[in-house]
Amino acid sequence: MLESLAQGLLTILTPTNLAYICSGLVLGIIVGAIPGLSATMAIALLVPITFYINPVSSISFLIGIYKGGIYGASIPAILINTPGAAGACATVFDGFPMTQQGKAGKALKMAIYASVLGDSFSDVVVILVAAQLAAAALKFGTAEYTSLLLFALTIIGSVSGQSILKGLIAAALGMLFSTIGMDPLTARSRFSFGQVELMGGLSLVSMFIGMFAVPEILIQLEKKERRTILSRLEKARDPDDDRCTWKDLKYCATTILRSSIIGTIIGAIPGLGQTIAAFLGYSEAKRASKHPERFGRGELRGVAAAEAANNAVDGATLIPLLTLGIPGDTITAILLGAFMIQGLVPGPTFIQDHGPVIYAILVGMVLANGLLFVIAMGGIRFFAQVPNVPVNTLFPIVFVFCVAGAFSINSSLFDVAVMLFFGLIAYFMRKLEFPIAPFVIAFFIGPMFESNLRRTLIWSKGGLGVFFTRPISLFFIVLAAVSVVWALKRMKQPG
Amino acid sequence: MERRRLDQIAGLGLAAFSLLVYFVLIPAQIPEDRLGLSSRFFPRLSVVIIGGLGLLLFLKARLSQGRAGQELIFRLSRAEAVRAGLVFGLMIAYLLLLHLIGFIIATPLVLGALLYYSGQRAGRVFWPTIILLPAAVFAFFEYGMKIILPRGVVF
Repeated sequence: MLESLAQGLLTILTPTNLAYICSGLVLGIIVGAIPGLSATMAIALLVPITFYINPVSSISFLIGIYKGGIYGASIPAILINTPGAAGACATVFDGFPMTQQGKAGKALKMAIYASVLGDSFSDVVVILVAAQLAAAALKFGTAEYTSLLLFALTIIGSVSGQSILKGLIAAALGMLFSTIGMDPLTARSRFSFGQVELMGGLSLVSMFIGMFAVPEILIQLEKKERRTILSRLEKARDPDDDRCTWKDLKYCATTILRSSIIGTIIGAIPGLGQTIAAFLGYSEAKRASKHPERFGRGELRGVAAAEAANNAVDGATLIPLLTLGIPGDTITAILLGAFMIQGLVPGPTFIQDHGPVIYAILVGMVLANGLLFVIAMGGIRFFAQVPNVPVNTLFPIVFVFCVAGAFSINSSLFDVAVMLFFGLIAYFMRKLEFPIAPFVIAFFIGPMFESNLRRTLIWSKGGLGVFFTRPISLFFIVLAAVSVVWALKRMKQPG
Repeated sequence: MERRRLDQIAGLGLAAFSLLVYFVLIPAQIPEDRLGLSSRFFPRLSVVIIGGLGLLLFLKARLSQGRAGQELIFRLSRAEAVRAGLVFGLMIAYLLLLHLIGFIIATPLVLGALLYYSGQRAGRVFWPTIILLPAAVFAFFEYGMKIILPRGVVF
């Protein structure tokens, strides 16, 4: 593995790759810092551009946006009490009180340290675990894969969003839409409505842009009132309140480590994501503290806990993607699309088949954390102004990019129509509180699940016993059953 | 509108949608075959899950009616829905205009309309945005990425 990592380092250490990572990070911090824009939306919008770049540069660029975006969301959370994304909600609890106490600089710098350390911890775990897990997954046959995907679908549907029912419905809708196009076994056309464009299936990029960007534009432009709080980083009276000292880091070290572990575990489980990790990291830090009463009133450990946990999710979400081909959240679902555009199909043989590319990307992830630290620290005053960008100018501009991006993949206005169609669906889903993540992830898992299920049933001559007689398959079936029972129990609980 | 009411409508809507797909769209759009499980199997499975869970959502929302303390009020503002409808209408109009008059003429028109509608009317922002942005996007895609943006059938 060390040899592969060294090879990866040599591949990634080119001026072009470093430039892509840096521009991804800067772009990510900017979009993360603008409430309403998100890393997901930015990645969806920029996937078409990566079509023309080599795999290592393009995926590193997108991962740079991912990392920058998750950290960037903490800036408005700390400065103006408005998280840039849901994952930074827990950062608000102590970040904004610190700003009110004149310690915004310290809070922002602790957010940078915690984000970088949490993310680095998670990336190292990915490097250590990915190859081993992928090797184990090579033993999977179609029955095992079917059971694993069933487990992934049930857990994604039942943990995303507030309502389990709505999560499962969203997952089933994603599965249904994934059947548009060619049957994976017989290559017959399904739901093509006589349109040549639909015979090969829906355009992934148009679907991404539609699901993530269009509803946000509609939601932002439907509001009449606009935010008036100005975001800026003022100089503190006491210079110590502008710094994150070695003493502060020592004070938060255990919290950062605990939250990094929590975030990594949460990230490796498909469907959970940054928000749950941040809240869990925060509540564990509060529980473990000798002074829990300080939390919510500007406690530095509160900022460190939330930021380390939500950033530790970033790397870990790639574990199921790289080893099993299962996206852990919406961003990795889009990354899966980006991999596929580059002709790389994640799964158990992914690391074996494309080792140099994967290790270059993995090393690039660790490198990106160091660059994130430098960029975020260096540009702290500039990034603090970013949340002031006027929404009423920004979103019409974003819409033009959406249209150009959706059109660019096949040079087809049909894809723009597909984008608007999914935008409308996602708008109503958000209004009716149906989570988007299960829809998108099931859209990807659906075809894999269908082809594995049907292949298994052809092989077993229609018998379902094969899923229960093979130990690994049985293990995942039991896990799927447990996740459904747990979800039903949760559904019965009041509130 | 209350969340409970919205959930009832959504549940019934999903059940109706699943019936439509199961009995009308699947027979019309997917040919029957005999190789192992039919091509219709998976879409049918998805639709049955959607319909079943949709009914469950409807019933759950309906049964929660009398339970005091559990009633979460969620408002879908009519004014917001109208504004979103107008913006979406502009998006559809943009699609049609792209087909008819092409990117370079349609974009400033629609971008201007969206900026005006969203309240950005300051001349120093409005005019440069509607002139320079379409030109920059056009140059980036046409000359940078070698992608021909829509030309339009009229011009």
